[in-house]
Amino acid sequence: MCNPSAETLTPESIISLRQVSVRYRLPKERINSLKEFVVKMIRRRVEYEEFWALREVSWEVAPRAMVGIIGRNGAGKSTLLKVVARVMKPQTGSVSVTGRIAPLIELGTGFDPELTGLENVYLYGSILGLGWKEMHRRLDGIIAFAELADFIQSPLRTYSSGMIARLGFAIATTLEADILILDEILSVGDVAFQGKCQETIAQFRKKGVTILFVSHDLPQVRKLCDRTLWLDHGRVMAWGETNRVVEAYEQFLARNHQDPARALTSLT
Amino acid sequence: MSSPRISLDSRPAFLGNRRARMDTMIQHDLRELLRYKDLLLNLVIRHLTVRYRRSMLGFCWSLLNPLLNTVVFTIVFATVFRFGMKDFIIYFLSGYQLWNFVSQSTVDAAHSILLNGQLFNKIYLPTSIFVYSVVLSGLINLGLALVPLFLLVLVIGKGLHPALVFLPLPLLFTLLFSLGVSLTLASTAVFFHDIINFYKIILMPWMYLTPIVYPLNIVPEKYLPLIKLNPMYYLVECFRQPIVAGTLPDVNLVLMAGGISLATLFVGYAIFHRLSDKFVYYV
Repeated sequence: MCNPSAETLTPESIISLRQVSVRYRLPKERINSLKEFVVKMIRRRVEYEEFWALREVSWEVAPRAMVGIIGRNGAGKSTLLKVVARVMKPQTGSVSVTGRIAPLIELGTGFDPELTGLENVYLYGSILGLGWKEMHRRLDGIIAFAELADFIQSPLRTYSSGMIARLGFAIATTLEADILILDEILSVGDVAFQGKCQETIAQFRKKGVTILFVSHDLPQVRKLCDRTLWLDHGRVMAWGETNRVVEAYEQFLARNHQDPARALTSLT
Repeated sequence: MSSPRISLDSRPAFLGNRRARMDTMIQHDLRELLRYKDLLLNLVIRHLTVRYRRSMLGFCWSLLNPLLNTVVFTIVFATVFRFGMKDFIIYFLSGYQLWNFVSQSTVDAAHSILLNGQLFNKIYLPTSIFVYSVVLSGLINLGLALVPLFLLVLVIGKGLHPALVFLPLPLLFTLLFSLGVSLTLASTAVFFHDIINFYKIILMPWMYLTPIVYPLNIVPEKYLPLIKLNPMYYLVECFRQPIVAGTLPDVNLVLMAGGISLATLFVGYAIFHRLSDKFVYYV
């Protein structure tokens, strides 16, 4: 499955996608049972709706960059992140990613509500590939960052969603990652927590971590990202200097009779 | 910190023969499992403890449950059924606990990939770890269930006979068999949920086709071939004989049990790995 020598890669890129296409195949009619499927298979009547989430995407990201990823809903942003995070194997093309990836996933995924905060720290850590010893070393830092010292022995089901988000963020950021994936993460938590997140992102950048930042909040993308990728219908529309790409995207949205400000509020 | 260069290629990376590809695949999987061994451990512990989290006795229930079960079965068999066999309860329980392990772990495992879809949808994980963790927890529960059984053996059975030293082998076979069935069910269930329901229905007649609640010698001659088609027959026999009779099972029986379980594991592994890349598209 892994064959590092298969591709000669540009040494200066940390993420490299070549002609990557991802196709979803959805059966046109809902097939609910095995029997139905077998019958249809034999009659060759299984019809699929083909949907290309990514079409021949070639993309190279240099290390230490803060990269924005923008595009309308269904543009392929999440699929792109899945391909980079090794979660999804594309149908065609090759992907090469150097180093450790820290994904920041939705609130609470990977946590168990019945376990205590502390137990969840170890569980979540091991999901991210960190062992007991490594987590133990980071424990105090995590609890302090999440500001949960008083609640760490309580079951997670008693936490508020803000507390869960803080805990998740605290764990993921202690990972000594080379690539950090932020999928709409800054929209959770209160203002103080968001400030803290931004501070952490700044620290990550100083350490030389490559950050992929998916957002519909264009002013924030402008503020934070050096380079931006704009996807639409699975294709790369533009990739380069943030201001130029965001501007092109805004013009595109306006052309498509969509008020960017309104689109923004409805999306976020 | 190490920075592995990970390369994913949709084209077949290994152009060698199939055998070499399988070997590399197994090596790769074992490495991944070793890397995620703490996750495996966490999942097993969670699986074993979460159920009793809100109860006062907590994890004690894991031992109390089989103990109370054993007591109930003993009373029922001693007073209600009054079979000719004095230690029928030991005969029954040794087969029943082994069966319980297989049926419970495979049913739990069948759901395991579907249940954790939200997780491996976002983070890279060796997905088979969910299957392994469920089966391993089942094995630990079996170990706990064997404690009251051995107490019975000590009190009314053959005592702690040296033949019991043989037991790890049939236990290993049963574990491999269970893993094979689990891997098959868990991966195919992603595409056809029906398989789980279908399997649950099959379990009942399957249990009655295994000599657990009846001794083999009451089975009419003409039905014996049917029973010998059942993989569980070999596993149960190999496991039960040292406990009930204090003797070692026949070599042929052991070879059959070993062969069947290895073959089942191999098939399950192959199916799982054929399908695992597609999980993320379907969960």
